[in-house]
Amino acid sequence: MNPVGKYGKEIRSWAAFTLGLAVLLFFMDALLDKGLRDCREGSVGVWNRVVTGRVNADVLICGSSRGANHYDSHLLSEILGMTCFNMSVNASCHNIQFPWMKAYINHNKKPKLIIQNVDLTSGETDSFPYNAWQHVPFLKDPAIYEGIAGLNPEMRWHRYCPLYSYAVYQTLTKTAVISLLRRGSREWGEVGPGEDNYAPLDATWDGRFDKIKKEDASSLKFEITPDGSNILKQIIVFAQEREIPLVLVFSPEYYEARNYVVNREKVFSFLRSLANEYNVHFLDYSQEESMTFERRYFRDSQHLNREGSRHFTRLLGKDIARLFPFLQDPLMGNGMEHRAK
Amino acid sequence: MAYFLLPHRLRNAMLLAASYYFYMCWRVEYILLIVASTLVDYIVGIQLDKTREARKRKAYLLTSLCLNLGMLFCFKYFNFLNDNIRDLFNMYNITYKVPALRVLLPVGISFYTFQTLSYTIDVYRGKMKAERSLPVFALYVAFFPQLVAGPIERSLNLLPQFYEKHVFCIKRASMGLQLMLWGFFQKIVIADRCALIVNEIYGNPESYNGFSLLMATYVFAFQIYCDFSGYSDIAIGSAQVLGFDLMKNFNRPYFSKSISEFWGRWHISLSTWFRDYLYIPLGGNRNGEWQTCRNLMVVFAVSGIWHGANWTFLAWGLLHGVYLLVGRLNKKLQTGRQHARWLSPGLAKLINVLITFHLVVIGWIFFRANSLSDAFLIGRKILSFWTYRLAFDVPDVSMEKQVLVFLSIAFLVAVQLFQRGGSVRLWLERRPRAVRWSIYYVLIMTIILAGEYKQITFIYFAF
Repeated sequence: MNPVGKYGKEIRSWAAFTLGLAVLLFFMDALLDKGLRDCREGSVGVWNRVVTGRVNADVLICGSSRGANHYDSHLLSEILGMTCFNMSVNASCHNIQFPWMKAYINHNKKPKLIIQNVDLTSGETDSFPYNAWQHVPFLKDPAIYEGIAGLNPEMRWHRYCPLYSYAVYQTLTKTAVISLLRRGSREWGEVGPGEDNYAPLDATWDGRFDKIKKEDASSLKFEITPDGSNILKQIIVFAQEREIPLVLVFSPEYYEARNYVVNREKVFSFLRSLANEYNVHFLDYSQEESMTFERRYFRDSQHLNREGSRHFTRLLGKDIARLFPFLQDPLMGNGMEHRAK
Repeated sequence: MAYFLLPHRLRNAMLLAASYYFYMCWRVEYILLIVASTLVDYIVGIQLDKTREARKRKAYLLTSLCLNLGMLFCFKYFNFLNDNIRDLFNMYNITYKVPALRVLLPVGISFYTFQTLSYTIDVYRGKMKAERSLPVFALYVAFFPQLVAGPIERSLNLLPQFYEKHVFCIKRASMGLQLMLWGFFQKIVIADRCALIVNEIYGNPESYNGFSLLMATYVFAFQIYCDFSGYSDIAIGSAQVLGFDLMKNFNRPYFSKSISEFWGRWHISLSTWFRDYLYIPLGGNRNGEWQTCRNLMVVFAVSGIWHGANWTFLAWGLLHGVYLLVGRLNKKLQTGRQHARWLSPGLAKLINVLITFHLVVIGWIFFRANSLSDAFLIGRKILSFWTYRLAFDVPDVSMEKQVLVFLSIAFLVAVQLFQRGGSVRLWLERRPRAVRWSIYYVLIMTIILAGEYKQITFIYFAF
């Protein structure tokens, strides 16, 4: 007897169950996605602003954790008299920062200046984004998907499989549910303090570096890989093609940390030569005398605390205003003819 | 589906290939161990059937025992023994140069070794004829649903099933899938979530107060139950879908009224294995009280060590042995006495269940602790009531996750209380389709959205 005929009723029942389950999965996925899209807070809220064109800042700050901790966007706005937006991605190399820069440019008004924080890791690339959960809701954005999906095949599951991201990253489920419950309770508004990725460290010197010194840690070496150096070049070219002035900035570090990096000069030489090659400013505050010897400005050898970030931002603001006078005076053009000192 | 579409004569081959592939996904070379065990016991079984001479039969049996237990010893116990001998020699400043074996413990070795031994012993005892078909016997050893963590099946139950022509039964498959769904829920939602708390606290017992350690121990009681019972349900359910019946491995053990009853409800396949192949051959309870006590202690010492090569497992096993001895003594003392009038049967039952549960929980301290010294530290802290702070704070585990742990445990207890009135599955069968499907959908959604996916190892895989 034809098995389909014999089991026809049960097969239909199972098919109906499976169909119902599929509908439920897609429905729940869509509902939670809606919640995430409506989220105004935290990292997801910041990226939502970016991909929905709700930033439109004059000055864009990009970087890693040092970018997030060091550049007080609100203070810089006051100094420069224009809107600043810190879009740094914690614990990231440039290959994670660049897709977000592209997404920003795709959805927002062209900024007047991009401040790109550079580090000793500027010649390296990430193999997988840290805190990947903050990126996965935005994998439908072509710039993000193109830049991040290639790092790990799992990203495709996040994009195409319903509820996969929510199963893997329950932070997203929680964020989506809270956002759904708060729906309509807050308008977007202008970007206020705390509504970008500026994350000041309210901490004093934590002593980790002193422990490392006591343990007599062997020296560090930071690679300059072809992929890493290419990404930084691509960032510069990307900005130049869109006639957006870009400045590379190396923010302060604690002076003793320099002794533990064996190829420090090589990295700085790479950054300087890149700046020369592409005719961009390179502002090196790594040995800023007013800060580098002062532990009171640092949480650890690489990260400024809140006080340090404010001090640094003031120094940076003055230098930016000096180097890019057009920022305050639109009649002076877009400053692309300016050259690194 | 592929299994049912194949002709009957090819099905066992397909299952065997799938089982070997399943095992090789972990580590390809370790399939040789299963194959070796299979070949040895297949040959031994046939020789036992052919030979009537008692001396030769004993020799064959001993061959199987030595080879299987020898393999188990090498991979699981050699380094433990070696380390302890080294420590002993070091105490007397004697040089000890035997190196450790650099081998990984093969997944499921304790399970399939015991399964093959039960076959050999049953053939030796004449309870069954040797299996003549090597592929069928190989499948009995390596049958994937229960290969890595049981239930430890008996040859009398499982072998004949490989000769039956299994016809696809929708109802049976549905029930199998239901069981698997419940198994996944227990494992992914409850057990793995409990593990977040337990691993953090038991990993740093010195940093937590007695109250936190006590709560972590309770949580571990549910973690290990859901982890193991969940796996067993997945194994039994998947076998059921294919048309096979595996033995039940858990029967609401935390509702036991005595330790003796607990061992009739917890890891039933292992406890019955020890009863039939160790306790009874030692003499059981037939040779007087002293020998019965000795036999019980031996069985539980071996049971403890079976679980792992660590003094903590031995301590756990011996503790349960002591519980049983005390239980036997108490029973003798209780005979003829009446319960106090104020103690209703229901209340007496509840008290017995609570006492038994807590005796088991005490044992779990040793089972889970990383060392004996940790176990004693945890015990001391738990008993130091005056130091309790009624705050249960586990850094690295968010408050939502902690709340979910306790909610999921409460849900499990509610389901098990419900089961006192009859099987949940039978109750479900009588509900309208909309109710059944809603429950399945809720379970699936909960597994997807509230499951913990970082912890994916089953505890008993380590045995």
